[in-house]
Amino acid sequence: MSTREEKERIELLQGTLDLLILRTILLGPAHGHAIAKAIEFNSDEVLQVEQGSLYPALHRLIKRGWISVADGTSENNRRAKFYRLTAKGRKQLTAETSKWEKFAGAIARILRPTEERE
Amino acid sequence: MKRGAKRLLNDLDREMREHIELATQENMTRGMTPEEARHAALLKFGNVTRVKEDAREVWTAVWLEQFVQDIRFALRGLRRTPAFTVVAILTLAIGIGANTTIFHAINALLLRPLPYPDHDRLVMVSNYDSKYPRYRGDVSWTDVAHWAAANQVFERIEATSRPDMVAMSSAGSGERAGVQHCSVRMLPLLGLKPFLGSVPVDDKTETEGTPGVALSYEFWQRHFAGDPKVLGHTIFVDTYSAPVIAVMEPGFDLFRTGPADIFEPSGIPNPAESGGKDPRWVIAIAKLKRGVSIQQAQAAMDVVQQHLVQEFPEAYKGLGVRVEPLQQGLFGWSSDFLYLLLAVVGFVSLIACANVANLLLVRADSRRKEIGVRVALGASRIRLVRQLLTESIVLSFAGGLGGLLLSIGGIRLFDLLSPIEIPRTANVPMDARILLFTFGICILTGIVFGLAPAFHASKNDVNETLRGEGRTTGSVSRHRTRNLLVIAEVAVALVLLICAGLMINTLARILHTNFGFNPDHLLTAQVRLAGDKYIDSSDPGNLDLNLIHPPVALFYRQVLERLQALPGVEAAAFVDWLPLLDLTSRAHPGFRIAGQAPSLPGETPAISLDSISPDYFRVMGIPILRGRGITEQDSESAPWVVVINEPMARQFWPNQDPLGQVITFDSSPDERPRQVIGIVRNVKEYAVERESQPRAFVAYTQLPARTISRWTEARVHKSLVIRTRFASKEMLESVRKTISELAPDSAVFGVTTVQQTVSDAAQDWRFLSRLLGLFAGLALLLAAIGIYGVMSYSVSQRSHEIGLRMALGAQPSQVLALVLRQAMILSLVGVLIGIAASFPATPFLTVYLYGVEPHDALTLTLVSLLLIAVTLFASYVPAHRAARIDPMETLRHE
Repeated sequence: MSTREEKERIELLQGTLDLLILRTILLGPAHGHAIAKAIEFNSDEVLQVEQGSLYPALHRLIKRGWISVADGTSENNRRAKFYRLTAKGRKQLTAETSKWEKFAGAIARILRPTEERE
Repeated sequence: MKRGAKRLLNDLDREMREHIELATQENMTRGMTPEEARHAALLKFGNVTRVKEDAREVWTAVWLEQFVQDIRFALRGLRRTPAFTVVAILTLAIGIGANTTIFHAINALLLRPLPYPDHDRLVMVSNYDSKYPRYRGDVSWTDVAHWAAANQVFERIEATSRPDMVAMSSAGSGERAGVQHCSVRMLPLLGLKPFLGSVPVDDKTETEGTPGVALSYEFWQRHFAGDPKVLGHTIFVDTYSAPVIAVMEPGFDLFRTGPADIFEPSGIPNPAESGGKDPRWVIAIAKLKRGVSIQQAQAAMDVVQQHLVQEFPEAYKGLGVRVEPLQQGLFGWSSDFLYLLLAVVGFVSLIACANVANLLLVRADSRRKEIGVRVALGASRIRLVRQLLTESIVLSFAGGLGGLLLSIGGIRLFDLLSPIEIPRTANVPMDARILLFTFGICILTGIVFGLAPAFHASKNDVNETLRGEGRTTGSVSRHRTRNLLVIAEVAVALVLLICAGLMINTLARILHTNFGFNPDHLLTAQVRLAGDKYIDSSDPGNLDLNLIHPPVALFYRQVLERLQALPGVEAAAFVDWLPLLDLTSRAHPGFRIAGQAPSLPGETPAISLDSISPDYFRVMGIPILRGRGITEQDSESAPWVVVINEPMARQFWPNQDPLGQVITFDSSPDERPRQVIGIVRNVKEYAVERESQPRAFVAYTQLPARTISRWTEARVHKSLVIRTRFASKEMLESVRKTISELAPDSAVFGVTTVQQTVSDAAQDWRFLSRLLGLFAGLALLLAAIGIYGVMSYSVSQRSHEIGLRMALGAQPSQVLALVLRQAMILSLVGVLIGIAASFPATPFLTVYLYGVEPHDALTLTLVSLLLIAVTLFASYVPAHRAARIDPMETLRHE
């Protein structure tokens, strides 16, 4: 891995992975690899997850009752676990999204004036 | 764990494999070779083991699981190295035990609430001399009466004396007993009831006191064998006879003033009756009204006191009043001392921690390989540190448990050693606060001594270790940590040694002070006469006067005759109170000098007064400087005379010849003018470190029969002094028997050598120097072990280098010097730091020092040399081992 690559990569903030997972499976149930790929693809590869860390996060969300898991078949025709948003998860996603927007907006408001002055 | 979760975790492996499989395929479609594709997918996925563990962590209280695992692992590890484990636990147990012991005293006296209802509303009201506002002064019954009359802020204000040792007798058998006077409503105020009988509480007893006394449960058991018929029985106490009206609960100890045997419920007099000067010897305790703060009470009392100063300037001028929480009032004075001790044991614990940390560092070195393997297998650094810290916390808890056990003995020892004034605390049970404190100390020490080794161990370079390079060099930084720890140990030990040295120096100076008399070959015994035969206080018209009957003087004459007839006795005499005897009450009446204008009211000079037998000065070896002493010729019918000491001569007749002056004491209406006939040398009276006060001596035969009750005690208490021909411990028993036979119904006690009395007078210093000496000794031992450990380790690490040196021609003596030099440097740096640290530290001791400066150069030098010598000695063994290294052996080892 080159240094340049390292610099471009943005480490996920604590807790944001959960939000991204929830958002990703809002569109429909998906298995682990698909979720990881979707996050990277939709962020134009800016957000790089150590893909393995996805799984503990999925387990965490199941434990909280925000997503559920069901067995299904992958594109390879193998048995795979599909993760699906629950009603509770949907509510959580709405709440988390608005919280995140507020947060991002606030940060942006603080940062922007400085940029303008320069 | 739920079943669903278990399945999820079980399937995780397959799931991850599938994930990596898909990623690999994807990479291959981007044109990578299969190997590249797989490698990239794995890299992107991250550490599989870690993922599994993290996922597990979601479902379990993993930290707990890991904690249990860590503990089990730690226990296994510790069992494998029993020598290390025992030394570490013992070291910690000593450190923690010492802390717990001192904290127990602090807890019992200062933190634990007093066992009375509404204890948070109880306050102490005390006087203070505005010149010395820091000190708490006792109050008088009159003060309490005045305050009660003007009171707006207290529910009640009551008073109690401290237990006073007097004689009691009942049915012909006498005993020494502690009497405590306490106001009638004190018991209901504290929610206390007698065990047997009752103390009548009404308006009459409230001002006049009850016409009877209460016994403590223990005294009732001891003297009356728990006989319930004791109620109504009349006993003689101090100077009067009184019926027993009640027996208190077992263990009754009013405010930890020390258990009293007899309680006299006293009345708070009507202030209109006295108003004048009344001796201040009781403590006032009040209960705040609900909602009144201490500050409000203080402000209200300040106003009351101002009025009193205006109304009775003679009694209240220059006197402030203080309202403070009861506990602070009772024991606040001891907090400086106790916290000083806590600081000292804290230092000892620090050294113990440093030692264990060093041991752990050495141990960590031998475990480098194991740790390296764990890192390679994916153990995170935090996880490793946690594991190693768990190990040290397991150690510290084992040490804490040992410390708690040690402290049980330590608390008793502390009670045994501690000066009389510090209330006993051994009977106060350990409570949650102590356990919490010890728990806290365990965690703290565990982290303090565990953190450095844990971080060092986890900083392992995996590659180096696994390649086996980690042979035995030990990193530079680890060496530095170890050296720093030892230097710190030496420095802290030195500070403690200096403190102990200063105290021991003080003690030595005190014991070798010139007391003004010769304590060698001198025995003493205290006798206190009790019974109506000796004292008559029943004259109802004149409560303030006591009548001393002729049998008193007769007894004194007889006891001297009998004692002088004992074989081995050279001479015997007596005085009211032996100098340096630990009895607080002494007679100090006022007096008038003939020919001088009468002093202003309230400014009558007062001095200590003793009555003596003719031989007293000779037996004690107190030189008569001018004039003559008391002789047999000074009988009741001869002109009354008085002998004074130097300070009295200096203070009252600075420009005149005191001899021939005439003074009259006010201790009795029947006192006669006395002519000064002699001046004697100063004697240390109250305490070794205090200057002698003006003092006068009169013949016991020249005393009036009637005496003001305040000074009655002096008439019935005598300290006998007996000069023997030989070293005389064996004679103590025959002396005691002789006196007891003459006065079976009185109290004979304190039969001992005068040397012992003198040495008891230094007990505060003895306590401090023993305690500090003990802790400093511990610190020295621990520091020596520390140096030994580091040097041994260093020698074993450098055996290769040393072997090489020797192969190249170095002599064993040079090697010896090499190692010793290294130890010397450590120890010298430690000593220098210690000396520097002692400069801000020792001034805290100043109040406890006598005749020694806090930076006494001699003490400092001697103690430093001692420490250096001990550390050199400790490093001699490893140095010697180094010098015996066989170069061939070590080189072949390569």
